[in-house]
Amino acid sequence: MKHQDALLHVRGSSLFVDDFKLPGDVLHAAVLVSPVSHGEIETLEIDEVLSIPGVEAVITAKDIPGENQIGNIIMDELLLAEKEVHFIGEPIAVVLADSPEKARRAVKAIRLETSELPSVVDPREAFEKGMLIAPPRTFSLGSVSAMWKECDCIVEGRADSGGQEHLYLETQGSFAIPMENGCIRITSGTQGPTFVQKIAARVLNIPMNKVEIDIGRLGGAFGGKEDQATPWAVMAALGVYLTGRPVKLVLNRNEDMTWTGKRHPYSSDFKLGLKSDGTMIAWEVTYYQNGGAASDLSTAILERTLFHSTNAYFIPNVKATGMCCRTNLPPNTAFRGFGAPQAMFVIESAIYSASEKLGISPGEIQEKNLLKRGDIFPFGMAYEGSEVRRSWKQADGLYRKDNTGKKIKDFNSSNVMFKKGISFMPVCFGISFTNISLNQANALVHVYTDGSVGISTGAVEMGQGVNTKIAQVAARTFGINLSRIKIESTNTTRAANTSPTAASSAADMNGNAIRTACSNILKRLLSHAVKCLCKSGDCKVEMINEAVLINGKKTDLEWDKLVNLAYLARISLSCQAHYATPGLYFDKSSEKGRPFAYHVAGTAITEVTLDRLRGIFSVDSVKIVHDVGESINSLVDKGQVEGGLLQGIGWVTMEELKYHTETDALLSDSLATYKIPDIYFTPDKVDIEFLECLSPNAGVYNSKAVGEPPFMYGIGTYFAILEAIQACNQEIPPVYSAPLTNEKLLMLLNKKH
Amino acid sequence: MTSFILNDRNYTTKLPPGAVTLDLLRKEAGLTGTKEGCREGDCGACTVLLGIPLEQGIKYMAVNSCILPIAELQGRHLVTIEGVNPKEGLSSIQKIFVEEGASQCGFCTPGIIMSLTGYLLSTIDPDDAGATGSLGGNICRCTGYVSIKNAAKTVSGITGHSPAGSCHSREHLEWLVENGIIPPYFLEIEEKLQAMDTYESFGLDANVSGRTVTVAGGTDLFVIEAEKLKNANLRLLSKEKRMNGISITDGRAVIGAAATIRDIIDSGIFSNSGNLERSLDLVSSAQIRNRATVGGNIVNASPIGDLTIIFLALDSRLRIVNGSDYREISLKNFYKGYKLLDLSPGELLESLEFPEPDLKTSINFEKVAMRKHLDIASVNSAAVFRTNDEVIENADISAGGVAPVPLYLAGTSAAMSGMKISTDTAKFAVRTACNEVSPIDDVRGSAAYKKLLLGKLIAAHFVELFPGLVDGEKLL
Repeated sequence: MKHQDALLHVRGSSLFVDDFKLPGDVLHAAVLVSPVSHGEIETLEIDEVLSIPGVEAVITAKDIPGENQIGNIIMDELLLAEKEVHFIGEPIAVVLADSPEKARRAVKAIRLETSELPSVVDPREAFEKGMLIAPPRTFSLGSVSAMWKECDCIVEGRADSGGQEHLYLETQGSFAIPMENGCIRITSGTQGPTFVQKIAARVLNIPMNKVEIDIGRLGGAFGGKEDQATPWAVMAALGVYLTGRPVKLVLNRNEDMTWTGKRHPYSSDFKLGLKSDGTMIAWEVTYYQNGGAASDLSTAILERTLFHSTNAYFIPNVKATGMCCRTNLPPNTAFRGFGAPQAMFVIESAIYSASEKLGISPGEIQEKNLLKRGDIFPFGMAYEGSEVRRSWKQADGLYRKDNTGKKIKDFNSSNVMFKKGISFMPVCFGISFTNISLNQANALVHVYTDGSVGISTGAVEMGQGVNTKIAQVAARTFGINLSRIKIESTNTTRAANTSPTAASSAADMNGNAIRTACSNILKRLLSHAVKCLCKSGDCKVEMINEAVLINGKKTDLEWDKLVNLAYLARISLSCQAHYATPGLYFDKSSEKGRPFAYHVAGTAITEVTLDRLRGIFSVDSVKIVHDVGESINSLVDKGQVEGGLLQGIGWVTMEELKYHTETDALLSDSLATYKIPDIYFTPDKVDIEFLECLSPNAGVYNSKAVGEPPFMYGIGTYFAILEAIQACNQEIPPVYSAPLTNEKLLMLLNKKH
Repeated sequence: MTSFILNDRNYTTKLPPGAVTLDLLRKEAGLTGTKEGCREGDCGACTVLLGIPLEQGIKYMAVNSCILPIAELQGRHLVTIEGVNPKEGLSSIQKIFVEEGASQCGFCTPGIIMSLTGYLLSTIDPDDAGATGSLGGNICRCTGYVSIKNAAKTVSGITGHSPAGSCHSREHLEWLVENGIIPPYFLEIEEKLQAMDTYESFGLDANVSGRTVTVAGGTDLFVIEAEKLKNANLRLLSKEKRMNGISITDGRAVIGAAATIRDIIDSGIFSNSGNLERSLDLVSSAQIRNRATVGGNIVNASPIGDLTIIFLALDSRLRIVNGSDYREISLKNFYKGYKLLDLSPGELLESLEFPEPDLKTSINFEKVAMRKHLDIASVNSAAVFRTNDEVIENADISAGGVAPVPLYLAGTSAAMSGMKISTDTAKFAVRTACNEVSPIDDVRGSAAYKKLLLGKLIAAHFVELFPGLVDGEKLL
């Protein structure tokens, strides 16, 4: 089944925020931001700018009619700075003009003077200075302190992972249009329509029912538009409120890269205790998360780090502590994996370190400790699946079948200038929002009298194919052709109080809501069919391939005819349905519960070749065995695995955020200086096998979430490169500091030791 | 006024010639299928096709519309994604992308379809590597490229070898129409272009009052100062014939300053020059190679320009004109300091020439960047050795990213004369080169890294060129 949106994309006829034709009186917004990473606004003079032809208004904090607050979990972020500024890129004023160029020129003409205050960009330094966004949290199981003396081998160390720019191809943007009676309609490139609606209402001091959010699709998001699409949408709405004219605000690439938050950099201390056979028995880890200047989603992200501190392994004694540190970088935010990649990088580093000390291969330690059904996670939930071990076994089968180990050994012994390395990377990722209340969705289905169907949900299409999956669920539930289904825009007047399209769960939850809504309508239709066709009341009726079957026998009554008959009989052809993921609970005081509907697991084998002389590498192949449950759309799911993998490889290798050491300004602020994987970098071979589904789960039609878990297969590339370095020279001590850029690699290979 | 054919119809715009084509498409013509992703030619979301009429036929190429001045459109055919859409359904390439699941969020997709369409328009013999390579300038953040690569490979196979003699010919266009790659209206374009007013203004426009700026490919100018250029008069070197040829006469190769990297590849001038032809793949992207020029690379004076580094090692001489006067200068002596040239106002770099390599010449180019393709090097280096019986008669070695100027390693080059090729000689070259440079810390790497890397790349020249004579392991 094809990705339905692709039919428009390939013709260039799908509309993104910047593509809509707007009324002629539209104003274009540009934003004045803080040029310093910490300071105070001393002078802000806008009067002269107002006299520039084409400039309509300059909005500052003083103009906000409601609350100047865009915080989500913690109320610590202003829409427009009032006095103190906390990061480069913090919005201060919004200029509205009749063209984007004029608006940007006017921004430059505003006289802004700021004083500078001391800034902190390192999370450990922030921690030392007591700059925490929230109190530390600790997840524990058993007792690590009692176990150290039982260990045959203890490794301690530090692991660091860098931030990551989302680099969605469509930059942040939105436009807002005035409607009658003080209402505003916002088209926003957001993953969280309800959040934008709520914040716009808060800032404008109007009820939520006066703010309508509409979303066609996003040109990529990856978490970067979960919270951080909001300010731009709210600024546009504020512009409408103050001028009565439509307002559009689209960031250019440099603005987007410089001003918006990224994946959280982490610096972590670990201590892992093992028995001599490689069994892990104690795990202590402290994460210092670089939250940036405002909380954004940092606390939730850090929580997921704690949930995944042991990745796919069972360790009976665990103490995992997370510090959410406030720094003077743009507020870091959601990015595919949501804190889990950072956690998994640390445990994998510890395992690699232990393998060196024990003289056992990392793979052996990994395999020995894989989760099995019934093993308890540090947060009290039992692992309920079998996929962790099954995926490993199947991947290991591929490894053996290809004789990979021997091939690599042979290559390395016969090659001097090039060395190969290989790694196994098992992943176990929990599905559900860890904030239990977000695990709900609703859907609205209309069947029209001609038999066509219109569907609204809270899910936002951003390339991940959620609309295609939802359409498939509807067609399957009704027993009709996909061509009858239209997925409407995501709109708060049709799907209200929705959760963001995030946590990999949009297809699960919205799909389940759609399934209920369609089932309800189908029940009404079929009972009418029984009335029309059955003399006796007791017959089995179903809709298959658009036709009514009575007791398994096809009748002449087809879908569109039945729909029309039902309408004439005054039967409702619409249904709204709600879904709440069952069986979830979590107690924050004990840090125990069952926060996940299920886990997604899989194993990746990565093979790399290192060019010793030049200090560069290539990823030769990645083989993945992945758990998708019973896939609704294998083409879409495969695309998610491939895309996640490459983003993950980028994160641990070439994607490096560089900042000016004195001013804290982002240096890697364009596509010329921040490099992401390109078509040449993609491994020659990416083989993906889907694991056979053996047990039912909470996904829709027994499918499983797929968005985030594959990202973490990319971590395998890091450790495959470490293996290749070891093949060059075993004296080189491994480093656990992602990204492993070409620069780091060459310096490492030539380190004097 | 600039007049051209936009897809299937004649189009005239009053936008200034220095404004960029992307803005014309999205804001004036209302064609929003062409996307804005970065505005610096680094993502490919804005890729369009430019069709340039030749004496016979039309030469189509994929270009980044975000850095293409409108002046370049005069008398030409501009094709956007809307212009390759069939009246109904999908083109063969579009179909394959849907089948392979090679489009997710869709923002990069139109650009990718255009790059591949451009590829099939510019070759009669498509292959997998060429099709994949044509997408080197298209960034996708969703798919991980696996499906895109598969789609590109399928695309390269659908038409097979074109029966046409040239990719610029009508026969080739007919072939592509037959195969559902482009719509039939392409067959009428040549005639339509001929019928157009052939007024060539070199971009000088009476309505524009600004200064006159000389533009070669504009692939850097329109990244760094697009706003300023918007209201300037443009003198387009691409339209000046004497600056565009590539030839070899009497053992000397001459390349016009306005010749593009693509022109160099097509000319085959590097086919006997070690890995140079292959290395041009590492220089920017297909779209940029279609526009970026030799002269632009040299006059830009970037300390890291790939072409400049190559031409330094080839011991090139520059021909500089000023009205009817001209003078010659060695490229080695052209740079006076960071972005400072031996070029007076009114002077123009017309062409460059270098001795054609013979059998005694060994040539190698090395480049390491943060990303292998479409990236600016951390360090690059080129080496040209003239050897006789395992002895170096003459060496010319250059390096970028290690000094304020593209650097000819004079000391190292001179020191090589008369030396026997050996591991020790290579080590000596590495040491000498590292002592000759003064890199700085910047976004492309620390000074220490660049110095270390330069040494490795010097060693790589020996490893690549004289594998039997040096011991690679000892040069690690």
